[in-house]
Amino acid sequence: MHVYRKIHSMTSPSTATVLIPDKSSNITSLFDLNEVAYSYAGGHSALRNITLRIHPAEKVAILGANGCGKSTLLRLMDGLVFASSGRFSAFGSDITADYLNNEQNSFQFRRRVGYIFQNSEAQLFSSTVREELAFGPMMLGLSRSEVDQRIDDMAKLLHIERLLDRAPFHLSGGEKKKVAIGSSLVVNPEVLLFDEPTNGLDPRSQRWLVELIMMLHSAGKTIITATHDLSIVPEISDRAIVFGEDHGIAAEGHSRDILANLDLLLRVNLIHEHAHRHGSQVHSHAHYHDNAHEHTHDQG
Amino acid sequence: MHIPDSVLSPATSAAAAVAMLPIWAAAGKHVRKNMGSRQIPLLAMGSAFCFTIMMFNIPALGGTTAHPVAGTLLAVLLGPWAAVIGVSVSLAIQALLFGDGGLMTYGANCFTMAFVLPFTGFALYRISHRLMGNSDRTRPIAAAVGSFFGINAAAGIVALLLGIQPSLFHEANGHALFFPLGISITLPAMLITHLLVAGPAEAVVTGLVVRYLQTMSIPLYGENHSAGDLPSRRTEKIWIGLLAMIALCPLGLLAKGEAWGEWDAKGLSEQIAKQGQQAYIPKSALASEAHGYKGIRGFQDYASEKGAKGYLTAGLLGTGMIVGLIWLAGRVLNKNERTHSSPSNSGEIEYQRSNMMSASPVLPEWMITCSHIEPLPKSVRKGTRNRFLENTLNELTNRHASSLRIEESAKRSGYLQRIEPQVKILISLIFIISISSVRNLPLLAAIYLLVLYSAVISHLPIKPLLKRVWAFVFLFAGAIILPSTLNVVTPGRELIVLWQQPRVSMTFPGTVVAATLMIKIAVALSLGMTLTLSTRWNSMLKGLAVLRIPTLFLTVLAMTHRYLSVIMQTAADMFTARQSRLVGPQSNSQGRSFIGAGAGALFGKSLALSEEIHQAMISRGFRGQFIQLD
Repeated sequence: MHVYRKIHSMTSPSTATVLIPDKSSNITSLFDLNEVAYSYAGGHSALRNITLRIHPAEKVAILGANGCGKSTLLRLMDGLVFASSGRFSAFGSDITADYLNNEQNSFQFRRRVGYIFQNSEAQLFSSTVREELAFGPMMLGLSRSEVDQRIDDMAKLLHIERLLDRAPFHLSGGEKKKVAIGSSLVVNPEVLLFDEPTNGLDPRSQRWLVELIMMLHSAGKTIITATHDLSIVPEISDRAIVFGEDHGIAAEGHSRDILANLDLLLRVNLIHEHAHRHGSQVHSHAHYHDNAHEHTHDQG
Repeated sequence: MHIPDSVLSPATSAAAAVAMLPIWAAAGKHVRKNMGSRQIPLLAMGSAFCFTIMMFNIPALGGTTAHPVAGTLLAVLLGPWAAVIGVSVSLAIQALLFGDGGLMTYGANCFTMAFVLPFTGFALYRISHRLMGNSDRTRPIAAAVGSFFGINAAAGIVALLLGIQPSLFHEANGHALFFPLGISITLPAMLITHLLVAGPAEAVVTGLVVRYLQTMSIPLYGENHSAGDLPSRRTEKIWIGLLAMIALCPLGLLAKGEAWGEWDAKGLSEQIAKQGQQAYIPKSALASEAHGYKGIRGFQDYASEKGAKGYLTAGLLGTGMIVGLIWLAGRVLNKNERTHSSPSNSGEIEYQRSNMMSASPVLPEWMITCSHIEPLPKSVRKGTRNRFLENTLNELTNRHASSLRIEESAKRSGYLQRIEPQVKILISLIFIISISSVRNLPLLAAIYLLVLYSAVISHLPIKPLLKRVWAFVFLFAGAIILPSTLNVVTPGRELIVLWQQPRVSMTFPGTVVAATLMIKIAVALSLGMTLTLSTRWNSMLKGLAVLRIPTLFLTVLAMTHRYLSVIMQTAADMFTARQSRLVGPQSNSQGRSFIGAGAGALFGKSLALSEEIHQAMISRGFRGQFIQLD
């Protein structure tokens, strides 16, 4: 089926070169999903027959239209919901409710995987930014001085020093997103799951976010991003997994190949008729739908 | 239904607070057991929901509006124990953040609204639901029945707490120390308003919310409680213990009723203590009164002569008159408005179909032409101005504005802002308790000026402080206390004769009793307000933590505050959206069903948010134990 060979252009300290193997090989994967399905209590199906591997230090984008199951997949990979059928294993262990009920297991798993929610409002539940950043490290049992050190470093990294004693509801959307990301990064997880990270951000904040994700990746983090913002896909991912509206995987491959496959993107409702090519590439710069916009359609 | 400070004796307040301790402990335990690590976000959302719901105005009899207490609703949705914590937290936020309710009477307010109300409501909901065959169809009706009895039971307890004050706490000469009116007035007054206005409104809204949630298949956590959860032997024990405590506490402390002034000696400067005790020694002004005050005894005489029936009819008549007047005023206002606003007749306007519009999707024909606007048919016009929408919106936005204002004034550098929060909380509490026992008018006035002075030197906003306090004193407290100026309640030298046959007049001692109580309430309220205005929320939480308030309660309190603005904004948006789409007036029942569906939708959103917050907490390593940064 799909065989990828990819050499990272941006060298990371731990893994200078990462080979992405084909599915049959036995090189250790971080996440391994085997025929996973998930349906809600009412029987409404959210994921169907998902088989997928995530390898260390990969940048993966999960693409799909609204309501196709991207967020559910991220929640499953963060051990927040559990497969109705099929198997999900992470770091070599099967992730089940029982497994995570064990204190030791959940400590290890939560330390290694971070999840940035689409809704910052849900992620920011503490009464000040400082407490928000302290939550994760305190839960992991770090000493007070370590916690303070981490808060300071994280605030510096994200330029939110002056927000530390503010309440989350006084922050702007962009600031909320920064704090939400900080609250997960402060635990220093190996795998970061981003759910629609650019949603509701202004262009400058979007740019900042993309650069942050690239920086995290070059530091050796595994990045999994669920998005329908195609413009950021080439930068935040090397591999793309496309969800169809049937809640299953419609395609996967190199991000550039996926973006070039207009038939596929049209079929899964990620683009509409007005999308168009420039040379061999889907247009990914700012795009306004005003009437003066001239299009050259080279296929029907 | 909030009892303000200074109205109850410290003994009654303490008894109620002591009675609440085992209830809070049991509630914390139950909630931890039944909800697991989900408890904190769920309770916080429940409290924020409850707080917001209390600001919803429901159209009631003849254009009046009432607000729901939502205790029974919360019990049906999350279970009665969760309702205890949910309502307690929202009462704490009202008292600490907005200066509503009271600090000293917090225990009593929790006892009525966070315990009696949800438990009575839930018990009757379960019983009536069982009687009606436990079907989904009858559940909303059962919830409505439960909430009706819940709110009336709570109103009855409030009447009881207020009504026992004059007979338990009075001076040697019979003058009431605290609330001056006896049970035979408070009980009919509270029950009539709640049986006729607040109760039915609460019942309708509770029923509608439950129906809405059922059709949306949003889970009702209250249903998961096993039947054994309710009248189990353990809860029965708690009930018996509580009843015993309620019965014994005020009586046991009765003998010490006058020694409460000694609080002054411990808490305040000695000078005030001296004056405070002087205030206890038979008052010069009052003692000079020849006739004296017969207090509750005089009242009982009256009650036995004419019977409680007389009061009942008087109360009924009074309520009827108020409702009637408001209804009439509403009708007149509506009529005026109708003559002013006749819908303009713009003829048929044809919009040009532009080339742009021919692109898909195609608009239906009726959207392309602007049709002739018919005047509203007469039958539809009936109904009130949508006052409940405006009221609710105003309240929601005012709350938000005032919380911002508080945060701002607490940030300023001033004398009061510099004091440690836990010290401030304790001093305010001690002050409020002491003041409630002072009866010397000049001394009270002096203390009031002192409070105002400390507010001024701390750069607190004085105008809202004065406005809020005196508006409350005159509108609410004044209306309740006013009858005590009459010779029927407080006999004595007559000032103004209002009625000859039978003779009704305002008396001098009656006026003094009423004025003293009103000033006391004003001082206590101002104290509470200066505390909230001079303390930032986060330092308030830290102060409470130093005072050893349990972490579960504090965490829920903190998170409730965190999400209050989110939920209130959602509610305000809902009401604004409603107002923007509204054409013409609406009937009360339409208004009520909107409130029902709106509250239901708000609950659905709160529940979804709490689920997501729970996941966000789990994702960052939460395992059920909350650790706070100190």
